Amino acid sequence: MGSIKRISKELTELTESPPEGITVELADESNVYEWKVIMEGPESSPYYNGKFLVKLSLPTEYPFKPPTVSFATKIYHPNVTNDEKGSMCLGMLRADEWKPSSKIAAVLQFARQLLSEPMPDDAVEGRIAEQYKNDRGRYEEVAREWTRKHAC
Amino acid sequence: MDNGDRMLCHACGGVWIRDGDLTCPHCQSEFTEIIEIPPEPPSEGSPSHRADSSSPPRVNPWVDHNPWEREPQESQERQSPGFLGSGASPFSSVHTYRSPNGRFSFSSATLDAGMPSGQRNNGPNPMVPMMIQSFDTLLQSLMEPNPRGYRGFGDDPFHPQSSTSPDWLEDDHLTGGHPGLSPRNGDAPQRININEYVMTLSVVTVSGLISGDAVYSQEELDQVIAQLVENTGGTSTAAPPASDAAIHALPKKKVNEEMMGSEGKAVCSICMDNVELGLEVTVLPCTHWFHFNCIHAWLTQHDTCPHCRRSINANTGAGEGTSENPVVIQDSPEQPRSDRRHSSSRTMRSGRSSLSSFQSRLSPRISPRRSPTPEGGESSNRRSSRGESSNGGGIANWFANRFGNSS
Repeated sequence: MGSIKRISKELTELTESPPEGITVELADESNVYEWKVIMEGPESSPYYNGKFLVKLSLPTEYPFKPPTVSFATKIYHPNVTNDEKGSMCLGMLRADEWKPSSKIAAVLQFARQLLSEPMPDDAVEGRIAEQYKNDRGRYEEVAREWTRKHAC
Repeated sequence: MDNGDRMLCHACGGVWIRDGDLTCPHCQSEFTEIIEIPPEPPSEGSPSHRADSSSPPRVNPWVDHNPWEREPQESQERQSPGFLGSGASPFSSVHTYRSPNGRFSFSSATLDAGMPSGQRNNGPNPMVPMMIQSFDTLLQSLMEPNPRGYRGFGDDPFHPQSSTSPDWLEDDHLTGGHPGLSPRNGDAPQRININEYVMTLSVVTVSGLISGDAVYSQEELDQVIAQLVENTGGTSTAAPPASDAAIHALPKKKVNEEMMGSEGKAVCSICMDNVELGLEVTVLPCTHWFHFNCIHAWLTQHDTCPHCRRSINANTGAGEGTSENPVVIQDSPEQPRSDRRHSSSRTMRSGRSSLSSFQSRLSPRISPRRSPTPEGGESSNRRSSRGESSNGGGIANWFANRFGNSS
């Protein structure tokens, strides 16, 4: 029950003063564990002008267990799986790195930061990571194309 | 970006000439790539084209391996451009798509086990039974994790001197593209990484099935990797729970002015509730404090501060494996390899549950909390791994080794 209180608190904070480029709401008003997040592509990234639907799921053990972040909108990114799940790989969300004192706002800001600065060495999509490292221009081209096609 | 580019789909492996958008026409996947070579008319599978042309288009790098080219009596076989020629040979065919710079290749192979009668009449060709046997071995090793002691792929591919590799592995046709087993053959497809290697195997076996520990497609490999990424972060590498006694032994303190900070406002960073002056909180050795109920819930899972990760065990000060208290791993050049091999043979033995055992074996390697192996344990490890290594095999094993190398 303590977790619902904390989640509601964080939700209120995020709704009242949302971080730049991030809008949150509950996917279903009766369930505080499933969030719908609209993330705008950062200006400095090939995702600029895109609006990405991100799903944030909180475990019932939250804040002792980390939330999971997945992209419902297709995105061409080394740290997001290119499948129907669109799971995002975030170091801070791994069970052994998660700290209960991390807030959802921080998670979402970190996720958005990852759009500007992918971490190819921590990638889930090896090919995209390789391309990001070796052929940045092509990576940005494809990422922009995907953004235009799926996120606009 | 023009139409007419040759496209490759990373999801299904399909190749086509681009017409408009980038979506794969076969499986609708959008994980596609332009292969930058000019489009060619589909000449594969047209024997007459090959027979007429003295220099057929180099779509098939395997043509250079034609073993009959060097034989004196090959009047009949001349008609077919080689036992691996595209659709021309009566008993086997390989279609290879290859980018001009050789960085990328994609091959599909089919093999008839039956010997063509014409071939038999013209005297035995040493390549044919060998090839059939080779593919047979290859298929078997892929289908069952542990066939008759075969361990070609289970062995470290970076140590080609391995004396136990089957003889056929030395053959260029099968290892030309394999990094490390033999000198690189410039004419063979230059497979650049495990993904394509697995992809090639998947087509050789003409299947997308998961069998035991082996994965046969990029998609399945991705799944395994994703699962590993998700799960290696499990409790195995996280801090262990604290004992109830240790939790109750933590000092309690009433919130005072100092703890309220400069803004005169403080929250418990677990429940994010404000705390009032005079409220009793539990203080960890690192001086971070929380509601007792909040910190109790965390400490029953991990014995570290949820804020700074220092151990609550005041004696050690810092958790084992932190920068203040590093774990010393014995400096033994032999150990990593034997350890790895040991882990992979275990992986193979445990069959279906092998993924989880792979994870649990993998985790200690990347875990900072790993404790040094005692000398005696290490040598017995090595001994047992040598004894078991002939049981190992399969691509998962090879992958485990490879993964171990890079992590």
